Amino acid sequence: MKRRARWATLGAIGLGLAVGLAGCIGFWQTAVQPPTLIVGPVMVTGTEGYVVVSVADMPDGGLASIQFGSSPGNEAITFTGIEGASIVCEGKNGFVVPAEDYTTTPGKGVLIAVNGTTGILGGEILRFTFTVTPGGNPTFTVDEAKVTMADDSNEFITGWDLSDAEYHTR
Amino acid sequence: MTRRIFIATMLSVALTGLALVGGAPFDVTWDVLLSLDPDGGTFVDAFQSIVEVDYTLSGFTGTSRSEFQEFGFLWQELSAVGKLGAFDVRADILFGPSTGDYLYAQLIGEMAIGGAEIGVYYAQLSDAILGGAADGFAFRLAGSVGGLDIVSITELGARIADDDFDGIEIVHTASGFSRSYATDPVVPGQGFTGQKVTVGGLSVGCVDDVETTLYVTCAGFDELSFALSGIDSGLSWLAYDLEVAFAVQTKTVTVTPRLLVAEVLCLTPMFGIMPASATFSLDGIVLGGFDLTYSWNGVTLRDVTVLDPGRYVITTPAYGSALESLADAIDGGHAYYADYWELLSLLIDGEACCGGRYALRIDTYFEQGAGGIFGWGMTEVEGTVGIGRATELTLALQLDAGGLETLSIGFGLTW
Repeated sequence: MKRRARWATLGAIGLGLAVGLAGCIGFWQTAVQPPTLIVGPVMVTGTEGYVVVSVADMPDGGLASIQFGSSPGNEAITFTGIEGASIVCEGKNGFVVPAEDYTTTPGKGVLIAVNGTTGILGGEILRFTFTVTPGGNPTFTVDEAKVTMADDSNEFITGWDLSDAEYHTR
Repeated sequence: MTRRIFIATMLSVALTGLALVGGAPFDVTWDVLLSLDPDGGTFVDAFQSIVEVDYTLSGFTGTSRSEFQEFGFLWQELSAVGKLGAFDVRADILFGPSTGDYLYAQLIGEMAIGGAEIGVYYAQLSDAILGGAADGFAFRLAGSVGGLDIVSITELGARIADDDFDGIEIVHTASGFSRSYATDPVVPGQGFTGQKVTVGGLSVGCVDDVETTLYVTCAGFDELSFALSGIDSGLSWLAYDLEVAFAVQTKTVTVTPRLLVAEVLCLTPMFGIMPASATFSLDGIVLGGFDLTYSWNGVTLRDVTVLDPGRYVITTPAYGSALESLADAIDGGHAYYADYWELLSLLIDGEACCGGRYALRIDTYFEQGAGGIFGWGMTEVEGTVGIGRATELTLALQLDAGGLETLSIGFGLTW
């Protein structure tokens, strides 16, 4: 019984390997999911709100730095119905925010976030919390063209998508 | 899609309803936590309610788990676990009621025969999730031959959790809440997508364990790696792990030195080795922090100190308030406090009335650069009292330099 199980194990593994190697010929192609920056909707409880920013499917090495605009006057973040002076951005999963500005240009925000520990392949990277303007309909959007990302080798990450999908995986 | 949501909702309502009227085979737990923010602009800071109904029949246990947050009905999960002939079977299905979406389903069948383990995995991801729709199978076969442990995983559109892969985590983008499962469907259709063979358990001379992994995908050869664990350095306090991984265009050699430190009564030091700029050389040994714990008669005193902030952190109570390297915390998905360098904790645990238990936890954190006395940053107090075995009440508060940050009240019921 034991010997038969051994041969069965070896046979099945051999068959699996043969199927696997046959797959190298390329009969089936795996769909490639591009790197994605995911900006969640504004979540409001009472007069306070938050926005979660995450990434998914980052290339090997992972996301290590991200820049939303280059300077005040060239901001990547646009918000309405939110008090700019109340915005606090907290880095997640090792990210820290060394520079940020939400007040120089009303309704606009710029920031840089870096991770000195490791690159992130997927997961939450930033969480913005703020006070919403009474009676306002808060919005928080990101201009894809003004965002740059780099991996842990300081190489720019290209070909990425901006998404507002309600669910994602990691 | 709407039909599936409707059926799931009806099923969970029916299970809950039957449980409420006292159907014998049902077990129900209901946990509620309400957090108030007296100082903030929002009085109700957070709300969570989780209702879990278990129904056992003929060796199968069906479970309905409904999770509500302050913004609405977040997850509805249905699962079943039991035996079907020789197979141990598990099925899960997940819905996102707040958006009206069917999200994910998996079916797992596993059996052991003659020392071999056979597993069949199927999962489906809906198009409501970024990267979906996708579905696929995986087959796992494991056994021992001549003292070697062999594991073969054949992927037909799906990957399964193992030592190198965590499975799938489905995240609600807006809130960051998530649910995790073992089977990750990666492509639409069930064509061959990968084959992984791991051979381990070989012990030779000065090496405790040698493990080899070959992974090929439908795109061709992916990786061949050799991992050697516990290489004896000849020094009683130092061992090495070595991993050599060959990919199509790269070869990676990872050497991980480990200090072998004896346990010192109630003090757990966390030593790390500082790599030098030159490859394969060491700069020195760093004491990243220590964890001092002493328990006596239901009272536990604990001091967790970070001596190298930036490289080491204290995880949140949900992750054990452990001292971890920042890299390990990120890698493991553990929430941590970035700014606190010391935790003083008092935990009192004992027997309450009628078979219940009580617990009081007081955690005080100290912060770098804080202006308060001794650099005080924040204090969390949480008290839990069990009234009998079926009811538990919780009261918690969080104080920082700004005053009362949150006040939470909660209860748990089991019947």
